[in-house]
Amino acid sequence: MRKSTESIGIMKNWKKIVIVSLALVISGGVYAQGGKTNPQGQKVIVVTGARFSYKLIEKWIDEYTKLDPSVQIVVEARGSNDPAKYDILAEVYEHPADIKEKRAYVTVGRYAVFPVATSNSSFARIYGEEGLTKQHIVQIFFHDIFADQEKQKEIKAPYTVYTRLQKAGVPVIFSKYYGFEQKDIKGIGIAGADTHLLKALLRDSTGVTYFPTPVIFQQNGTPVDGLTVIPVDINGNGKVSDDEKFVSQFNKVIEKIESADPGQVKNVQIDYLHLSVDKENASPEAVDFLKWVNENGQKYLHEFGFLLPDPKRVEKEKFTEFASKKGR
Amino acid sequence: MIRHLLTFSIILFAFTASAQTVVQGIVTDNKGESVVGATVIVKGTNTYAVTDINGAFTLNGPTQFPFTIRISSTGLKAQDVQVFEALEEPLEISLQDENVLREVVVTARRRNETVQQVPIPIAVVSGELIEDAGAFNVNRVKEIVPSVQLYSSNPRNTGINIRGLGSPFGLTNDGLDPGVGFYVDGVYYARPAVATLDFIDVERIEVLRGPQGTLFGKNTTSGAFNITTRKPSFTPEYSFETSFGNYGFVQAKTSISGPLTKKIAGRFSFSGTQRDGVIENVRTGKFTNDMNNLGFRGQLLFKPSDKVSILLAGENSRQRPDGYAQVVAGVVQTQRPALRQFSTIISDLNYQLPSQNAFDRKIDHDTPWNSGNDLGGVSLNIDAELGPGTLTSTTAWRYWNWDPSNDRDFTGLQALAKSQNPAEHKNWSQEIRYAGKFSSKLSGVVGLFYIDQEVQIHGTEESGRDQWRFSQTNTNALWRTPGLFEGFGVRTESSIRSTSAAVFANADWEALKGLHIQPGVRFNLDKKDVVYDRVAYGGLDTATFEGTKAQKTTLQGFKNGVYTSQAYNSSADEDNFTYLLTVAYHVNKRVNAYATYSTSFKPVGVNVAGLPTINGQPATDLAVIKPEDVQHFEAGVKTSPIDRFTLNATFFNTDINNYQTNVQSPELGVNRGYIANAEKVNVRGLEVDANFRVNSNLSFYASGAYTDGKYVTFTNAPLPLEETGYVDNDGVQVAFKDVSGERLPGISKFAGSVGGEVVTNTLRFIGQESKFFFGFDGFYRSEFSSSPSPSQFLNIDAYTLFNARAGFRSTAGISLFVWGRNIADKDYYEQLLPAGGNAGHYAGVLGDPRTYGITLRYSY
Repeated sequence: MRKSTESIGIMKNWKKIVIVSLALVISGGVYAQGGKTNPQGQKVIVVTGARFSYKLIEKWIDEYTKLDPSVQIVVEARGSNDPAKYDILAEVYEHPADIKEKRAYVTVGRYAVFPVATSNSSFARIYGEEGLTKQHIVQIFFHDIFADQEKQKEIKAPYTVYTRLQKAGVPVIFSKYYGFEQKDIKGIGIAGADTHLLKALLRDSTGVTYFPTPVIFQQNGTPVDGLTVIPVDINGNGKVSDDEKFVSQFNKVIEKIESADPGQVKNVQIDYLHLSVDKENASPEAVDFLKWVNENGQKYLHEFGFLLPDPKRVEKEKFTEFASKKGR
Repeated sequence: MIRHLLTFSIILFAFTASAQTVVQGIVTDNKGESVVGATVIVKGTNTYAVTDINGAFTLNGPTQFPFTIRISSTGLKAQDVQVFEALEEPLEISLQDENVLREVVVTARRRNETVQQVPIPIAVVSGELIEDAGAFNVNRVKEIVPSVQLYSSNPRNTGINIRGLGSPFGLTNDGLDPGVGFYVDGVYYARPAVATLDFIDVERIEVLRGPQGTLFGKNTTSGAFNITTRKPSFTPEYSFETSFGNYGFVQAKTSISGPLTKKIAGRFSFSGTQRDGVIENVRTGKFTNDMNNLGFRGQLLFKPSDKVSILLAGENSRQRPDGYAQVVAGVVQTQRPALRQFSTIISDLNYQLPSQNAFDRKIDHDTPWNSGNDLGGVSLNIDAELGPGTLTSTTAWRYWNWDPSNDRDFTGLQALAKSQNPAEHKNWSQEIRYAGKFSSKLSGVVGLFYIDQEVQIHGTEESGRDQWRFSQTNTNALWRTPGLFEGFGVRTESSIRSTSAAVFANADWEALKGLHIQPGVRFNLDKKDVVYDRVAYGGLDTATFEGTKAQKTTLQGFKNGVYTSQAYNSSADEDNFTYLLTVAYHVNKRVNAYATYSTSFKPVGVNVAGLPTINGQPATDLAVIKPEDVQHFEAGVKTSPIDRFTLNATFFNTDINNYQTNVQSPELGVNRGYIANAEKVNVRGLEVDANFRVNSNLSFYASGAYTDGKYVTFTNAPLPLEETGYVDNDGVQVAFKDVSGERLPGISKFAGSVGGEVVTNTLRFIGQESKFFFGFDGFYRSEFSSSPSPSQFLNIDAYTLFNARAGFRSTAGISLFVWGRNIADKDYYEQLLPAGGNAGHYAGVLGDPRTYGITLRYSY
């Protein structure tokens, strides 16, 4: 009997656990759903996308909600591949055409991808000085079945490549630039975000990887402690000359990359941060937020490691027109 | 209390359970195929999972992040993954096959594939081997790919065969198309003379065996050479090379490439070769068969966008050798009367051969051997990525000018004072094709091809003062009439205009997992128009000869027995449809088995070297010969039994109806031969190729080919040299014989190559990164017939050649190495050919003696 009483007690506790868990899941789900209202009566807008853009987006949110406190804009790690579950997508690569035609975009800024290494590695010491050519980069980072083994260059320092394992914008862009797929990138896979990749890298005194500028550079314009940015052959002439060794200071990166014709910059992957809403089902509050970003967002780019967009690619008026129809 | 403790424990367990990290994933190999049975283990624990039939796994990982899982499977490189957060989606893990890292990539099917994936027997010769082997042309390829045969008595008379098929053995007739396609960067090179040129800036040579008509524009009934050259680079690079060797060998090569503007890059390559002769002409005291070659290639690459690439290329190669002399290799007793035997003839003329041993490398030739051989052209290639594939347009204009001077009686006698057929060939071609991967299961190529060719031939055959004795058929004293044949000859003006158009398609459909169905079709149109006009000139004017009418008639009859005027026009057109079906099954990542049945046609042929005469009239029914009708079957398997080792085998059987063959005519006016159809031939065989890369320092290859080629039916074959003049029991002279069941010429039953290279790791040497290497290769072929109709005498003994190279090389800096070819100094014949008129002597094309040298290269 005693045993059965205990069993009943256990059952009751199980029920409690299940009920509490369900309540948490449901409330969380409701909270997370776009276009909803929070208990304070604010409209809730959910943004998701590339995690290295979150700091910038949070800055925009801070500034915007000072002007419009009637909305609550939250940034949420993506839990679903269904874009309809989020009000705003902040992506760092171009959507496929079928998705693209259904969304309205604000093209805010750019980022650039550079190879990096743990500062205390001999790899960083040597290649932080000498830089990497395209051949070096392909040899170090990719399983290249087309590679001519006889023509491989000597890599003068030990290294261990780290890479994001899950499909993500930066690895896709990085590998595509050199004619590969993300799966072809060598090394230890990191199941996690860029911050995790950074953490893993810094623990390895031979670690090398590739990072976008918002991950590399701190707000003071210097690389994250312990990280060395490796210069690359930017003019594509097969060697890295002194004028290409500017990558350790973000203000120099800004100066060189922003002023260059995108076609002239080799071995640096430069792509755009886009914010977008569904053209049909966009919430007016989300549209208004993006309208503000479209008009004011660029002033915070450099602070968070992003670069100004190529003026030819920015179509501010297009979104302004869209916002005039879909905004509040 | 106990109850509370238990409750607490259960709650703790529940939270622990819910906090445990479930790691799910799919494991594939580098080809995207599921890896079954891979082990996924959490490092530092005993927690593991094994992938299921779909390559999927589920693992309960630790609660604490991060942790590392290791995924491993036999034959694949283990992969570590550090898990930093709870996973929302299954991990996609691709394990790399280390074996793949050294697989060779080919473009034979118009897309990049590893050679082991392609269900076609392909041999690949790399640019590095080409660079390290000294002077290099197709002749050298046959020593590495034993299924390839090259017979070249001079650039014009060059035939490239694969598995014994492609060109008729012997002398080239411009009225036939080669059966082996020769493509350089997608441009069809119509003339086999290209095979004698040194390669310039070659990146890779792919030799495809068997009919490839559904992949290539021009007919490729027995195989194709698909040559890829180095392209202009937007990264500056240059290479200078100079070589010195015995026999005064000097070679210089230069290649410079780099950007000209942001979107245009250029490449310029040059090659110049000189070598002294290797055969002494005792008459002149000069050494003949030297080398005097110049070649250049210029390319401009325009890349207006990432998706469009436009390549303009132009090249010219110029050869001015004192060369192509053949040495009398033997004399046979023909069936002609004693008066007409070669030994009697030269004895009567008080002549002696300079040597009885061809390998003394001495000749006594009174007509200079020198030849101008110019080949070149321009091409425009446009590649545009469109949708899932690439649209390619290749436009080319090419020319070949051949200006020879030969001593075709192979002696110091003035029998044939001149025997030369200068030719001017021009062609333009256009190929448009679309190739790509249209879905995960369907890829292919579809194309259109057109070529327009014109050959103008300005031939001269002229007898000298000793011709009377070679032509003498009886003891009539009139044969000795002074000046009867001196300066007597024929001038020939002939031309062939040929056009060919084709549409072709080849697809690869993965019907079931690993099972590929690959159909191909081709529709071909060929049209040829021939104008042949041969006019006899010179010699004794029998009309003004002071003698009786009977004597005049007799003398004219003597002359007519040597040369007559002949003129004819002919034309031919044919269309045909051929197809191919390959079924390939990728049993697993180590085994790819395939079987192919294909049909193919080699275009209609036309005779432009003169027709034999029957009762004094040209045999015009021989003006046009039928196209070859090819049925081909092959089954092969490509395997990688262990990492770093590939072993491939192919069995093939080819039946050809109306096989186009050369017929050696004893008539001098028929320029040493005409072409005709043999009713049916069959070639079957087995090929085995193996490559073993023991490690990054040691690699070997071996290839073997068993080839059995026979005339199944050939009832009207020419007589072999020793049967010339055969008269049957009824006293009737016989010109033909039945060689059904006899072997085809030019095919060794057994041929094989073996080679290897030892290379050090990168070392610091003379202030640069260098690798020292030693490479060797050997080639063997068994005895083979060198006569279209099997002969007792014109057979070439088996031989083995060894080549070696050693030195150090650097990708950016100085390379220096020594090389030797035929290092055992083996005496061997490449080919044996009867002399014109079938007097009984025959000449040999001698293989080069031992050559060696040193090469210095600087590259960046």
